[in-house]
Amino acid sequence: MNTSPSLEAPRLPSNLLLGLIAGLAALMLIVSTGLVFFYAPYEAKMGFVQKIFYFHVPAAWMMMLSTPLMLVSSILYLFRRKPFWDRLGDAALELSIVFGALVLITGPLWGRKAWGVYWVWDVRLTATLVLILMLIAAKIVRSYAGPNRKTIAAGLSLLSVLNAGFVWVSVDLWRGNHPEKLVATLEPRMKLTLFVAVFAFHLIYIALLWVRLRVSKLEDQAQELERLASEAGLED
Amino acid sequence: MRPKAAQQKAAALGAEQQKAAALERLPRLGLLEVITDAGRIAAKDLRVELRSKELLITTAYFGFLVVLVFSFAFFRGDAPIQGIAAGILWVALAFSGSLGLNRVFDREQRGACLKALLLSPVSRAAIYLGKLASVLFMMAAIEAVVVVSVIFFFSLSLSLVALAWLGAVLLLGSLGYAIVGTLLGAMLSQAESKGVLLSLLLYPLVLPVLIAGVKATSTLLETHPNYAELGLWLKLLTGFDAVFGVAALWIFEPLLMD
Repeated sequence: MNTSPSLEAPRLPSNLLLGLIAGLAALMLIVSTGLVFFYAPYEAKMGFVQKIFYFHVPAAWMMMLSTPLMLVSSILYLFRRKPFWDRLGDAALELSIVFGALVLITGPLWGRKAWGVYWVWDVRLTATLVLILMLIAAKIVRSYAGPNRKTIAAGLSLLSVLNAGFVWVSVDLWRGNHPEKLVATLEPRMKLTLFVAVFAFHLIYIALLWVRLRVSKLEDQAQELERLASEAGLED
Repeated sequence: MRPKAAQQKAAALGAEQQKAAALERLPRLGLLEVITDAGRIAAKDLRVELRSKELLITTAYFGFLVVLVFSFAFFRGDAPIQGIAAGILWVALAFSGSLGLNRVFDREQRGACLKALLLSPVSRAAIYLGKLASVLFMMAAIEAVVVVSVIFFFSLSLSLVALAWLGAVLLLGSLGYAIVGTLLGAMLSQAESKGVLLSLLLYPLVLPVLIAGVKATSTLLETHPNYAELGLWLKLLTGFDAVFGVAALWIFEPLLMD
């Protein structure tokens, strides 16, 4: 029975650090919201609606951070088979969906004002939408596909990133109207506000990723214990 | 005594090594071997299919029905609406193709054939390529029916040149579709509720193929096709096929390892 995994509680320093990061994230989010509403100037053409920008852009950046992380850990899991890479890939996949959904919710609200319509078949919009659809499908598969679902989900994560690239190119050939990168040309106060928001989002991302990894590790351990228990003939 | 024991040990080790080396050589990994093995698998599928014609008839008939339903749905006055034929062609292909993809691996599930195939000394790449070839064959049958019925219901007139180009578009497009579809079908072959999962994954993944296919086909259906635009979409399709083909061969092995 020495082989049984222990369901040890996470150690204190790690708890402390996680709490610190989460606390700082909450604080920074409050600060950034304050900056967004009371510090950053009104944008001339868009007015109040432009403030969505400070939420939309950081969320999009987090998605762009999360997706490569998911890609790399999925590839590593496919070829190395270490449970850690599966957990990291899964956590990054979930966070990509969460931040991608934020992007897709805030984007149309802004687009309605800027373009007069909620949705256009623009390069970034379409690529993001298809990526998120694929990731949701991958998550569904990971939950329901049976015995080798983890491997399948890792393979799908890889395919969905490849696919998003192709959607990008194909829609680019077709049409385009998303605002170009304008961060460099921003007014200084707007820039500061944006960077505070981005910093806050990074902290939130790290905290969420950490918690998610911990949850999946505990889930894996619990499953292992269940398996051992049923092997040992213990029912319920 | 001692040297003899060492010798024996060495001999045993040598034999062991030889055996291991032979085992290592067992999956036939040479390019020619992979191609011939893939050909055998495809030929086996084809022979099974031609005896029953179950898959070909059901999917091709389904493709015809999809075109029929769409042409009922999009009528104005007595004539079908112009300009939507290309879209309907590709939607019909995508739908009936996914119906077929579900079944291609069903056949292997019966009697644990897939397990036997995986245990046989052919490489994974050969299994994938063989299945890809049989999916492509099925797609060709569907396309023959769907293209003819779209031309019929939408009274299209295509020049021979345009028809040849349409063939190229369909070939590259269905290759991309089959590359993705075969990989997904294999991945999900052991999954529960795989029919739904396959459709959930397939349509978003083949979206670039559908976009390029529809755009290329609709320019071909115009009276004066824009060949510069057509070239662009053909390039995109070729790129998709190349990238996803390589990726599929790369991840097919680890995906089927369990």
